[in-house]
Amino acid sequence: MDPTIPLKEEEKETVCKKMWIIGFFGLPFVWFTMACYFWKEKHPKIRFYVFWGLVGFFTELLILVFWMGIFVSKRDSWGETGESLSAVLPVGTQ
Amino acid sequence: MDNKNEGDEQKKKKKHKQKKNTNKVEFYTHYKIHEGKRNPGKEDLDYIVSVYTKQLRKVLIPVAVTMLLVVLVIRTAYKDQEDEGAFNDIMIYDESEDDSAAFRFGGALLNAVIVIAVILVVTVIMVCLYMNGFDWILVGWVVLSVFVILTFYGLLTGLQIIQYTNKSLDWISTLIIALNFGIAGTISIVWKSAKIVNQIFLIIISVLFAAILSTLPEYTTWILLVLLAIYDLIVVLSPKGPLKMLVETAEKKGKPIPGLIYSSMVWFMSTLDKNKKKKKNNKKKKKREEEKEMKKQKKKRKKSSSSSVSNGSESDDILLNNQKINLNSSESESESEINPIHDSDEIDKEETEENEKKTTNIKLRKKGNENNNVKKKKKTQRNNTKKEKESSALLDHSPKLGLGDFIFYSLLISKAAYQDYTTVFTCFVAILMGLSLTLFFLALLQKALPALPLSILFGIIFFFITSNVLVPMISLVFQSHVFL
Repeated sequence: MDPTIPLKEEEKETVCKKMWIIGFFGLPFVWFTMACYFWKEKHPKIRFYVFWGLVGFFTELLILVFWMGIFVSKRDSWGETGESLSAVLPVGTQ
Repeated sequence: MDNKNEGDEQKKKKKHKQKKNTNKVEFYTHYKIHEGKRNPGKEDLDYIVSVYTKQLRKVLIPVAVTMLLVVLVIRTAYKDQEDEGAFNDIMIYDESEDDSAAFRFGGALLNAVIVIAVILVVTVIMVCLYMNGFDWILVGWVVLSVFVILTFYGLLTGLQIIQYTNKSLDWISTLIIALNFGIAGTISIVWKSAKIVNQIFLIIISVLFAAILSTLPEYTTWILLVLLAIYDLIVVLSPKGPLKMLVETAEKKGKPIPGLIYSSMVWFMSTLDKNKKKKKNNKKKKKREEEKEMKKQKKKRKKSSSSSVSNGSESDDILLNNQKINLNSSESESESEINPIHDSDEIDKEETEENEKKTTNIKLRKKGNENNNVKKKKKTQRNNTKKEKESSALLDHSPKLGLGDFIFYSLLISKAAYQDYTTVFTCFVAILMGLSLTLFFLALLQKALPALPLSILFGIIFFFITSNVLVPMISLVFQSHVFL
């Protein structure tokens, strides 16, 4: 329960693996926090998880930003679909 | 030499104990002053004060950051929402400006007393649950409240901020971001995570929770703050309170109390040799951080917070003469160790307004207020494998502050933020002053102290003086082109 207790060596790999699996459910941010936590580890398996977790995080971030860019610029021209997809409607658009 | 031998014996005993439960973390506070003398001598005082000042920064900075973030959120996203929040539906007395001042005061007093009563009831329930071994309920409660606060309230606040900046956003990205945020935050708070990530999420939870609480009607907020300060004082300093029972039970069980605490978390290894001022501490008390989270259900949701600042001193192992200041403020939703919540009720309520917000310190359940305890604690974790030297232990020398404290400080600042910036600055200074004073007393008195009362006292005094005297004076002076 207390996250301030440092992990022991044996537990690190299991925790890292669990976070790695959790990140596959469409949660790239969990990969990022995993990388923050296990950044300095030298164990090869942990480095594998951290590296590919970061790769996945940045890929998904790129896709998300790309989608957001498309949405913001093309929202007006989509008409009704654009409006139904919007979470926030800005006021005063052309 | 004698000291060392005794220390070694004690260490051996400890290690022996530790070997039984390999995963057990023993919580000790260790402070020995002149071998049994109660009052510290001069050099001890110097040492105490030097340690205290180093640790003060670690506590002040998160509190300051939390308060600034709350002001930011309120000034952008919540500006129109004062007195309009969902909490108004739960209150028995709805404040309105038509009623006379005395009537409003009475109604607000009624509201606040009911809130405190709920907090009390929930605390008692939580203590009972904890003592009878139903830890999993509390842990589950904390997990749920952290998740709900971070996801839903974070979503709501984020959407309001985006609406303030007049951008557009689609539902898909919003849901993805909110879910990511919520789950990553929950993992980092209740499971393992990096220290800085944990602290950031705790601060975020405090900010969200305080912003939500700030929508309480005005008179009710002030009376609630005052009553909470008094309640905290009573609960923490009373000799037979539930806090002590909780701490003792936690020590017996050897498990940390589920709850939300903010800890600056400076872990390092220390050996006996490095400790110049090794002193034997004959007392062997284990004090754990007390996190009391009391959840109140105001008509199913209530929050109670009691803050206590406590210094625990234990001396089993003489590793370091460091004082740990643990400030446990348990409040709110995110974590409360002991607050059962009725999920369905809360979820219904929340969906009307906002979903809950964080836990104190980040961890807090919004629902309950945790007790803010400032305690000095030293956690010592010994390695089970004996090395060639003396035992080395991991000591947590950080001050620990419960999230409830964060939340209520931020609540006071948010009330100031609804007025203008001058009030914000003065209340900011007042609260930090109160906090420093509390920490100083903690260093001096070496026992659990409530973190709320002093700061809230100063904050309230400064708020009313500023908003009623200083601000009109400044605007009048500007208009008359007098330069002070």
